[in-house]
Amino acid sequence: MKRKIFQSCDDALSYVKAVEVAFQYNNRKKYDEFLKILKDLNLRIGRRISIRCVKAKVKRLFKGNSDLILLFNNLFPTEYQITLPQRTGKKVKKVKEYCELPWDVLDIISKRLDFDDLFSFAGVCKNWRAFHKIYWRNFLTSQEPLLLTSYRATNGEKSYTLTRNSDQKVYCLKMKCYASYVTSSSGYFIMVGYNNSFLLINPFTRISKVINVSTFEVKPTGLFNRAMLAFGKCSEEFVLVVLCNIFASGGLNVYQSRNCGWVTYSTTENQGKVVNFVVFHNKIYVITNKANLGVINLNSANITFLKLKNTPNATIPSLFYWLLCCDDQLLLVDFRHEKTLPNVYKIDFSTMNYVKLETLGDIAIFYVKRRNCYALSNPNKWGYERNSLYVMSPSSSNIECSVHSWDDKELQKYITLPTSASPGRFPSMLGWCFRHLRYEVDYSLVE
Amino acid sequence: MAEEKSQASSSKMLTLKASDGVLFEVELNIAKEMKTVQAYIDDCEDIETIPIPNVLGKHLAIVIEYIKKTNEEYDAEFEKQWNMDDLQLLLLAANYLNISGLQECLCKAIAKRIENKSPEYVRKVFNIENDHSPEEEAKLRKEYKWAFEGVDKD
Repeated sequence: MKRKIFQSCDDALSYVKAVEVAFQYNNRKKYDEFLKILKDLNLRIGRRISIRCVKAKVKRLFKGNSDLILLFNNLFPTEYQITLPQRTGKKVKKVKEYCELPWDVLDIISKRLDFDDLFSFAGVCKNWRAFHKIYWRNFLTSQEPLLLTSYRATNGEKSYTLTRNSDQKVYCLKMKCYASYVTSSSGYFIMVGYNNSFLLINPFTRISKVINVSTFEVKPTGLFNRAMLAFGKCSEEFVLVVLCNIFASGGLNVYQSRNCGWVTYSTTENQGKVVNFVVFHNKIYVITNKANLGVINLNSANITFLKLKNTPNATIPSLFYWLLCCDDQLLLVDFRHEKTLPNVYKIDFSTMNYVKLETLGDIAIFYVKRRNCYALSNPNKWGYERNSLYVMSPSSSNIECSVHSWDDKELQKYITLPTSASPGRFPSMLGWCFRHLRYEVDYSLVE
Repeated sequence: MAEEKSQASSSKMLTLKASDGVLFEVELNIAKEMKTVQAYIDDCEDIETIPIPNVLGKHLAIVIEYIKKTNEEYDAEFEKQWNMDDLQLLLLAANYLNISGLQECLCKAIAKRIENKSPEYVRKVFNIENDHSPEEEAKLRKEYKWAFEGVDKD
């Protein structure tokens, strides 16, 4: 099997190709270094590089890729043979010593695995763990909405799945929690427990937090709870904003982890009752049923209201105002009339004006009736239409979602939501989950 | 060794040489499914024998067979025949030769076999050494607690 250096052009070519494929995805730099060694070797006639040097360089470069070293030994004459460390008690395979699966292959395998398996995967060895970290990071930056569905088995046990619309891939979440889902926010599911507490569960990192409430009552069966989770900028401190039952007269309650306590924010009759909130430019904005926009002061129990012109429907309050933040715009959506397209306003801070929008542009809105509302930019990328509204009925087994468009207000379409209902399992649609959204508040912006 | 009769319209034949020296004569259009081989043909047009240094003869035979026959039914049956070792080597072959269809099929098979299994099982199956220290491993188990519960018995 001994050959002179590069006597067989084919073999050399294929070796170079093998190296390229091995390093294509992981480490382009290594491949370039290898080419450089070859170049130096080629000019060996002029004694540019010593045999020992080549061996050392190749051995170092291909550390961990013993199949490439074995190939190198096959191609080059005896004086170039690199000795591999002996593995005691292990059967040496003919061509390879042990198979190291390249990362592009691990990627294809990972795409087929469920959440639980992905976490097991990460525990196999350091190399796989490193790969998992990158894979997971990319997974969490994806803006594609995932549909959260709960299933009730005949024995009453609940299970949850997250489903992707594009390829119907289903992720099973083996969460066992006796709690009622409110919304998903900053990667966490916010749920209401049965003992006057909130349960925050992050299915992507397996972190869960329980926040007890003593100053007010929170009912898990309350259909009109609103909540939002935001993190402190560059910290693990967080803020939980909740509104328990928008029909009730209770105020807005905010929990801050840095104080370990709840604060109730009240408003005057004139300002109206807070019905919704969102984080925009690292501040928590609230909207009242009288369309008054304010900012929560995290250092006190005050809400600073802004003076805006052209306030929509000032005389007729609406409980179904939603604040949305998308493409660096703050939008107000009025869902009071369920049968028609909602009115959408943009808050223009330069003129302190509500501007009614005739079109959303490259945005799609996802509405879970009376429960949740999200905006997604560049929806075409995920198979959704721009300038459209997707409406779903919450906690129902209705798997149809209606689609409305500002381009053609008469047109109404339906899409079927992906589920994996099987006999004995009854699906209940809970809403969409946007894994890339992470709300952050900047404590320094607060007076 | 697989020998093909030359067609009257003479579809060009190519020889592929596996790492253990076994030779395979295949039609050009079959060889082109392997994007790595395609790259050689593009680079050196009059090449007749292409060395495949990473793949054993027995696996190259299986790969060629797959390309010739592939369709959905074949795929479903295909992956059931092989043990884990072979699956892995086939996957590495498919990866090196850059045959996306075969790669997907094999990855699907492997994913199915490691579904709901513990990391120890996966390590055994892939012949991977556990290079985590006991402390690291304890930490991982704690972090990923949900995953280690309800796993199939090895």
